[in-house]
Amino acid sequence: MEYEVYSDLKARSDYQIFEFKSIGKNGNILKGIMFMPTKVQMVYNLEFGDIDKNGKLNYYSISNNDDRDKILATIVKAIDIYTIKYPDRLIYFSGSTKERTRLYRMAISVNFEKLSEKFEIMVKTENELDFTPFKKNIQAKGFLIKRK
Amino acid sequence: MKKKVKKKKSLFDYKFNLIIDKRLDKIDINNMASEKVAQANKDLKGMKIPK
Repeated sequence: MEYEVYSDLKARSDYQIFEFKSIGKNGNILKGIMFMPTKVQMVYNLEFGDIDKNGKLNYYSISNNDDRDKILATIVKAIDIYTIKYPDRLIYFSGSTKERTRLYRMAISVNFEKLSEKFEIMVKTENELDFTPFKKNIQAKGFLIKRK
Repeated sequence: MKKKVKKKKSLFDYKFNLIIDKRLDKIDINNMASEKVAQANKDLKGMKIPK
């Protein structure tokens, strides 16, 4: 993987929120990455979106800033930083739409070898109560990441 | 002749500036994003979490 990342990241002191600016043809767009506790102990939900003028995270916005790969690489960087601080926490995420979940699956597939050096990646599939190890082309509903 | 190999950067090689922003400490995170947590809780209900 040879993607660029947005190298200027701002974070809350507990790393629960990261902020960066997407810079592209549609201007500078403030993006947020959050790690929210779930009802399951030690599992944190990764959320990503544009930060709107009210300070809320908008998961459904489409920026069209021609920097998709750079953004995905920046999210991975945030996961890396977060799981260095909290190595026992598991990160769950899914796309805000089926298309985005598929995009995440494809991005993981392309970079699986590199990602596997640091992370164990598991998948939630439809109607299964066990997470299964990530495989290319698996029909994923969500992803669970654990730092190795 | 020695071949010059340009080392390509991988995902984790990039340097970055991480700034701890006290402004973010004041944000009510539950107000900022709650819809997706509800979905995650629904997804995770009954799931066996690997150790």
